[in-house]
Amino acid sequence: MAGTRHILERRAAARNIGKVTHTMETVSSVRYRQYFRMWVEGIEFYDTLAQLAYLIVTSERPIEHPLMETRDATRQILLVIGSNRGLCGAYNGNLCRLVDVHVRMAKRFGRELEVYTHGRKLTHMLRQRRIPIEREFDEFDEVPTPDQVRDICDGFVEAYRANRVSRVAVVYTRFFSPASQKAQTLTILPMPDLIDDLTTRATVIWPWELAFEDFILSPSAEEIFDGLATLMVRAAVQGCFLEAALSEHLGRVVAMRNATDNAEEMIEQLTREYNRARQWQITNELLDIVGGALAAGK
Amino acid sequence: MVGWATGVFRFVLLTPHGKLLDCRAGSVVVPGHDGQIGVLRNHAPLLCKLGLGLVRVEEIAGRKNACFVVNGGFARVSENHMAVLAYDVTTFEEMEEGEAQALLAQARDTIAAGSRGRADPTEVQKARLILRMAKYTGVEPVPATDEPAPA
Repeated sequence: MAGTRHILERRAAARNIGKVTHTMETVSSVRYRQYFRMWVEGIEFYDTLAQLAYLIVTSERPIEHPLMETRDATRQILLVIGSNRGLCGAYNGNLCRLVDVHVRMAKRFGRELEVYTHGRKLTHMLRQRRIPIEREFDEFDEVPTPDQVRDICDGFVEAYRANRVSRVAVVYTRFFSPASQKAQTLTILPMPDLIDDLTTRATVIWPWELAFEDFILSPSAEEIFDGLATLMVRAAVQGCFLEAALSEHLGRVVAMRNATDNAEEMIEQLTREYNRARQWQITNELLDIVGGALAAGK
Repeated sequence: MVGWATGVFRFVLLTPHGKLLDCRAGSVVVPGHDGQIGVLRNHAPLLCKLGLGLVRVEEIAGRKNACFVVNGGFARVSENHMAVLAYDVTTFEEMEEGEAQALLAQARDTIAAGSRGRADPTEVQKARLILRMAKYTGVEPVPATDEPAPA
């Protein structure tokens, strides 16, 4: 049986780890609540955006726009949103597996992938898997400001317009609800995929009574669509970053709660072990005294 | 929809981070891409691209008028419901006095830098709009000198 001092050291270590994990759980749960409020309040924005997109794409005269057309370039852009810190369960691992699938598919179908990342931990994991990374967005911590989103998106839209890439997709952990988050790929460009995703996940009731032709337009439909497409791409990327941060913090809350529970369990077990060792030591000492007294009595 | 233009209609100002205003208003003026657009009750369905300017919401039930600086976005009017979708919005709503003063000071600095040709023209225009918004919403700028403000 291990010595009591050794057991006490282990118990102190477990207690310290428990304190750290409990603090991390508290910090992440506060952040999670903040982001969750933002996510809930943003739902109506995405719903209204979806309604506008639905109106425009269901017009009797189809709207022609460069971002609606498919491209024949072999290059594709993949923006992977992970976390800067670890200790959030399988969060980064799941994203890595999904990126692996994209890499294999690209190899199989003769496509080239341009991978952009966010998150130090994820970037490190991808580099370990020898996946070449074009650029890491590290100017912001979790959720970028509107200006930063504009800079990110403008580069992607420019590449698509110039026919340099045929697809722009985001790999991130989508937050469906507090009970369900899943790593998935959202296609941002070409636009039909994004509009499809926006309109099918919207919480509004379809179809709408009004048709596109009922509206007074200012400026023309093409120009409105041009602005709307830019807004949709930016809002979608912003939404992806927000959902990724939300999922990360929820993942960390769960992981850290489990770690704190495990630490508490270990502390209990070590306390039992320590008491047993202490009693065994006392019994031994008593036996020694009794043995010594008996020997002295003879 | 045919009817009188008097009365109120629902107005919401939405951003990806949340709803900045949800109320029933009597009149709304938004900065269209080619000039200002005024909306009253029973307006015809309208889909419009916005430019840089002030969104003024007036005759709101139970509170004073609201004002926002928006840079781009969309406005949709249909069935007495107006939704403004904007990405870049600046407002004094729910702002502490100190924060509002800091925003005003920043706007004044931007205008000063702009007059020396050291600031982005859009930012300068936005700063001017922030000062106009302060005047409209009654946010009093603190005097720039060290002397105490008159009682």
